[in-house]
Amino acid sequence: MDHFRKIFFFLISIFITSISCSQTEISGQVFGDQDEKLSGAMVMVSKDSVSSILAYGISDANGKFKIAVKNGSNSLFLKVSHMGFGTFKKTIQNKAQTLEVKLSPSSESLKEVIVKSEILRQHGDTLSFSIAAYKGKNDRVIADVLRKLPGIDIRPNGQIFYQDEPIQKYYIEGLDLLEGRYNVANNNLSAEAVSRVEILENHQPVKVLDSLVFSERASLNIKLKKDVTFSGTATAGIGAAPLLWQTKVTPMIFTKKQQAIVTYQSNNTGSDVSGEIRNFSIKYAGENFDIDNNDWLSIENVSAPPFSTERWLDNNVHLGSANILHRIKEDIDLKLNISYLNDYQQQDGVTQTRYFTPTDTIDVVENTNNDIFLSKLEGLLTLENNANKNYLKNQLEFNGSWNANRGLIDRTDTQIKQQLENPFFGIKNDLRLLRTLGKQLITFNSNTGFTENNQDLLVQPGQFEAIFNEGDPYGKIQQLVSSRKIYTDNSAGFTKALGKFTMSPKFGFSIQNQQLDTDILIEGEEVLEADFKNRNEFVQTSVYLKNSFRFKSKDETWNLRLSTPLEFKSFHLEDDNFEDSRNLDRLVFEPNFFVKKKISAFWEANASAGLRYNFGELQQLYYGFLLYGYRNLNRYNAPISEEIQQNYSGGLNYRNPLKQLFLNASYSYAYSENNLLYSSNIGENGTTILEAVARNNSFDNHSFRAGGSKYFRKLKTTLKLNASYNLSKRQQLLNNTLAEVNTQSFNLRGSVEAEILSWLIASYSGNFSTYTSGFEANNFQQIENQQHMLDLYFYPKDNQYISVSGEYYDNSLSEKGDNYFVNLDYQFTFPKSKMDLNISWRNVLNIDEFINAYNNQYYYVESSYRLRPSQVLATLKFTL
Amino acid sequence: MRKLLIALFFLNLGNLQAQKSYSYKATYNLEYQEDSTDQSSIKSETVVLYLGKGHSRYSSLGKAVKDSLEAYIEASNISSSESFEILNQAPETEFHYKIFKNFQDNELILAEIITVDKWRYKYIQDLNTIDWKIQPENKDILGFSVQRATGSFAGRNYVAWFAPQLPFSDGPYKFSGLSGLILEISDLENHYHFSLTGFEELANPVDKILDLNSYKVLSQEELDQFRDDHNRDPLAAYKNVGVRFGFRNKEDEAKTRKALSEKYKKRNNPIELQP
Repeated sequence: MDHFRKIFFFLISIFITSISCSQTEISGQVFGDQDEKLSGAMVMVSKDSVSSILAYGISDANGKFKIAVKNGSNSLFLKVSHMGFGTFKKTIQNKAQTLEVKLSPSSESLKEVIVKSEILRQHGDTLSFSIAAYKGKNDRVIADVLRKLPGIDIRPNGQIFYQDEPIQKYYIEGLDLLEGRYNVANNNLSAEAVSRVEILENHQPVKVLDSLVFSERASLNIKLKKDVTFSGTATAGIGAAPLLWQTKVTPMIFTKKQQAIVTYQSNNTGSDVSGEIRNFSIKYAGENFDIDNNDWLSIENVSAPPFSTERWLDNNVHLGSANILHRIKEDIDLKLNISYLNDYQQQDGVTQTRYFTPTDTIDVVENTNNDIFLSKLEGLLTLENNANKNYLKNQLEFNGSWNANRGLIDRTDTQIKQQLENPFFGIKNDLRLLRTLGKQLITFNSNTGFTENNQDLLVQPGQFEAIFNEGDPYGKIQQLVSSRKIYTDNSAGFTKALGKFTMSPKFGFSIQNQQLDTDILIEGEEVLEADFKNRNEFVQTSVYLKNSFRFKSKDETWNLRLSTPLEFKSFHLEDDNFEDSRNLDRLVFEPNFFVKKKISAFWEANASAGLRYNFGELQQLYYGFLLYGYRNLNRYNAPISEEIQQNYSGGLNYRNPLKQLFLNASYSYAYSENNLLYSSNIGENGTTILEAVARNNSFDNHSFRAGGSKYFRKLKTTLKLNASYNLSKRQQLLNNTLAEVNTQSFNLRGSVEAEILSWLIASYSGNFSTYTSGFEANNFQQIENQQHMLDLYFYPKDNQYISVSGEYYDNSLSEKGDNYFVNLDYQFTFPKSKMDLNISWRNVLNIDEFINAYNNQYYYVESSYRLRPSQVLATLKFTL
Repeated sequence: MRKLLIALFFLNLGNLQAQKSYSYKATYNLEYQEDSTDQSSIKSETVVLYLGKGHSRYSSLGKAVKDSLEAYIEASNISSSESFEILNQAPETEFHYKIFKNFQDNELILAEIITVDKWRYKYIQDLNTIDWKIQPENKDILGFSVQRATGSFAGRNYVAWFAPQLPFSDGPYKFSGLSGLILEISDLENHYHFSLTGFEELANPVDKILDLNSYKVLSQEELDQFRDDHNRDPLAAYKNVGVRFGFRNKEDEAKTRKALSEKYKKRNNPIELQP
């Protein structure tokens, strides 16, 4: 075979030679400057200095070479190069000749390329992206680059997803400085300072559990270029009209033993800086209690537009945040995260609401004008010892907020004033301890917390006249709510490996005591009737034995987990107002099963099934009326709700780092049965009375999701696509009629980021969704929403760009549902300093309102929101 | 730890004996399909080519790191458990050989240690055996202008892209003989695909010991056969050198044998299909 092939090639070459034009033989000898014979010199012949090589030879031990050239042109271009010598170049005639070439030494270095190369590499469960390779000219902070990485998705609120699942931890150089509040780093850490971003798949953050308890989640690690990094950004901007300012200073320092990020931000340009301290920590099932603030009361809002807050948020915000990590000893970290936010926002809009009930439709038009005052202090002190044999984490957290809202509603016939005070305080301590004892691992958890809030809603003039004032108008109504909560949850257990199995049983108890006192005042006088008061004490206790088995096959292709929590739950509600009490005792078994299989290097499949019980919370357990909003009166005149929920899901993942292709698809089904139904009685003015009724009902939901992303190396382009489809069915009581409500929704979103030319960068993102709902077989009109955003960056010079961005929103429900925006930006980077001057002209077309419409299961809302006018802002940005 | 190892790696390149100096390093990513029948068996590894005047040294990155770690361990007083831990830090590799090209003598030496018996083998062959055809087709790789060439080697037809501006008539694996460094080369079926990921000048030209005297000379056929024997039945190969594995029972032994033979069956696609 091989001989045949050789002969074949030989014949072909003879053939080609004989039909081509004459062949010239050029021979010669190469010498160095000392007349030494140079071997290994490369002698190349081309048509001219720019065209490709026609033939070449390499000089032998005596420096001799011989090249046969087949070409018809009169002259040829000869190039001789050798390591350590300057390249010899000469134009020669196309004829047989013998040449002597003398090379002179040169110490000129060859061009180098950085290891830009391995832009995405995989080592076991770690994927490592080279930031230099993905970074475009217009990228400043690390979030800009993360957005482009295939497999990674940053949602509008800043949360990072990998393969459609939220990341678990955001590390910087392996340290978890921010405990979930990672936007402040992601949006301010200069991309220049970062060398690589790693995705740690199946990452177990607790070292001592590493080989015992597998993790289903991925974490992200930022690798910096230097051991000691001082980075950050600072901006200062001013604009008009009215007078605008924007300032932001975020210095940060990272060393092996210390990390700190401090920020002060202030603006009235609509930039929503509260997102910088949003907490994305993942809560795990079974952590029942927390210190979240409960909004018992509210003022009527206008629904916010679904796009960048810079178009619509009328704010005046100040944010300060400090995050400090100190490594006391090896594996022992002390962390402090503290932040304070103060904001004054104004909202202006019109809402038209049409309520559909099986018997009637009701229209309400509201002109809304709200003032919102936010003041929030949050602090977190963490001590963590993450060693090979032991683990300790203690977190002390406190939250305080002093929010107040003022709302004015203009309706055709009347004007309504609302005033809400909503102070809140919460504190908790979470302790987790793991200790190796012989061959076992002993675990201990203790979580304790306390919250308090006193809310106060004043509405003028009074509403629900029929209920409160025998149908006659009256001056004002005030709702007071005071609630307190204290809880503790403690457990102890052990984790033990049995071959490839790991067993971790734990035994524990929890107790939560909640108090709710509510009163309604009419014209400043307390309404004494029991129907308008609540004096509740709700105690939930639980004793549990939770066990989970895990299995990991030797080659790590199979991961199985079976949790079998058995819990005795007891609920006791003491109602002093109605002199009544309710009790519920249940023994619940909530098994949960998860399996994951690595099918091949690229494919992975997973499936899960689980059963859960949910019981009523105090938010749905008060029997006296509560004025939730100026036209919402709620009460839950029913037993403690019980819900049984079944969940099933299956998914398929594909990730190919070589081809930079990531795909995922999943299906999930949930079915639940509940003993309570909520009934809304809608009155003429749109006033709603919500009540709970004991009646068995069910809910089921099918959900399909699929997504993919790919990076095209040659085109420097990232393409991302995601689709989801949801189908659900539930029963609902509306004006005392039971109705089955069906909803279907479909969503498709995609984005492309491309460096089209060296002077043109384009990015597009779009979102298309449809939503249909209906009673029984009658569907309401389908809503289609579309959003398209296109940004073009032109670089006339390397240090300047002009960007044009266009945004389009369409809502098929409303005739005025088309919205267009154009924004212009010019940025100049001062050479040799890391300073940018940015001039931006926002909302060039001066669009003054945004029309949005949506319909829910039982209402249709069309709202217009007053936008920020056309404004110009000049900003100086520094990289620290 | 890693930093230390890398520092050691470079320090160690400065050892005695017949030294060869290398002043440039080309790094390639090698993607290869282990099982010719299974598209999803594609693996990748980093390979490095050290370039000097008239000579070069090629191996997988894992092998290169391991070599210098071993040299460090030999030279220092380290307990065997510690040295085991250190060696474990080297990137894993499926390719345990290194290839030395000597352009003056037009010869190539492939040296390999077969893991079982720590025996060292090598074979020597002629360097430029590929009859390259160059074509007037150009493109750009990492900023270097490259030209296309085709040729066949050991049963596969290759397309290579070489950079005339890098005056090394060299490339990854046994490939050489073009008028410029090969930056990308793959066979037509794309079973073996080398692509340049970095090219850098070494700040301090590294010297590597070239002491292949202790390596026993075989023919390529013999060495390939030897490696194949070892891969096919590592248990027997170990047994031949007097190492026995204690299995709990026959069942376990059969299981292990089966797993090994399946692994062997999958590795059916060597880069050289025929000598």
